[in-house]
Amino acid sequence: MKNVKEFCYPETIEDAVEILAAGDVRSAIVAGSTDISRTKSKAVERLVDIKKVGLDYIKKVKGDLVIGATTTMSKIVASEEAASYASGLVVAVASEIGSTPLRNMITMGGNITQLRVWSDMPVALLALDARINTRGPAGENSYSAEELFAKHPGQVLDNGELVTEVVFPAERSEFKSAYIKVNKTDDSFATATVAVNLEVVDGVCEDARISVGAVGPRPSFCADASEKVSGSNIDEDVFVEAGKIARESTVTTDNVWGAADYKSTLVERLIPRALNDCV
Amino acid sequence: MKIELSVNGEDQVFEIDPSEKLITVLRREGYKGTKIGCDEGHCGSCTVLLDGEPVLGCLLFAACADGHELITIEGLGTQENPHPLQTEFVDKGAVQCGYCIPGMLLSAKSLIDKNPDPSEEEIRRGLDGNYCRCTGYVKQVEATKSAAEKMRGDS
Repeated sequence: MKNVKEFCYPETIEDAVEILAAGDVRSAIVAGSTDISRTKSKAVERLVDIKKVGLDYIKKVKGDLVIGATTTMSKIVASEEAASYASGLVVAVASEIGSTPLRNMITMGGNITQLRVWSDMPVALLALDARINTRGPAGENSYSAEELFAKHPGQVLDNGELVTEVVFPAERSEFKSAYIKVNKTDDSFATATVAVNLEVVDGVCEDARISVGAVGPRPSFCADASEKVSGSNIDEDVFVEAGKIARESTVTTDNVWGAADYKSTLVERLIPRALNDCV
Repeated sequence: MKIELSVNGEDQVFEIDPSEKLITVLRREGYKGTKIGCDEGHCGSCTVLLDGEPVLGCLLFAACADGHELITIEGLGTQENPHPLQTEFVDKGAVQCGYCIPGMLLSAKSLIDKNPDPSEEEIRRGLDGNYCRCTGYVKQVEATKSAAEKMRGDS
């Protein structure tokens, strides 16, 4: 960030979008300041602090849980609205991100757009079928979590397109959830994360969504494994089979937090465990 | 550029570079109690309180502190009149090399300000993010608990 000459504080979303989309110099968004401040870009000449544009909120809207982009992880952890949604999956994920000071800084928008291998929050968005609302020079837009994480969000979002909020749908609000994070120490980045969200009706698992993170280049929704569980009875054999299916469909890569084969084994083993936690 | 903020209750105006980190500015302005450790957001030795909440000075752009209230270790107590946390940390032997202590104390202060009677688990969560490579944390947890008791007037 050697060549930054300007730091600005827009007070409305419109102003922020206008500044970000202006082609005069390269701009970068600052919210929590934990990721962007470690970026060693020489191209960025303007930093745009979006903490004052009014995106710091957690609310229930017709059963949807809506979280503004600049809301910190600490606020999510303390939120009753978030805790009462989908048996607290979003809170469970937020509470295991980083450390206390980092959770006071890291924001919802930053944790999904500045996607890293270890990013935690995307698995919650994928398991809960969340939508990500944006505002850009072309107006408002909306993406499913699967669309946003199909590539790096930086490649999906347009220049100057700002994530404004994440909407967790009302339909999944009463469903049960489970989240498992494996990391070497409490403060380490994740080796693997698994999130599950489903409804149990008369002993049958309905509408299951299983997602995994940190094991490969990007977090992913395990479509085949989710399909295997949906409509089945609560059955250990089915859950084990779902783990095997997810292992086959999930790309894993080596990094300092674990070897690819180890992560594949984690995917296989953690999914039945998370499913059992859910039912 | 200039930022206006409150540091330890005093209004300040600092001339900064737009990409400078808060820790760099604070130390240049004389608040040298705040330490630089890993300088990448893991160790917590640069912890300061921003509007009462612990944040990491090595990651936060100084410009982000514009208009906010900061507390550094210099704002906690003095040699003559130490904060109960400082007294308890000394009495319980929670300080060895001392490098992590400014961050540790500020995290503890933030916790006790919000939760005057924290459980051990809550203290561990509150001090989370401050690495101490000397003591093994037990004494710091004990010192925080006993400072909270003193501040409540229980002992």
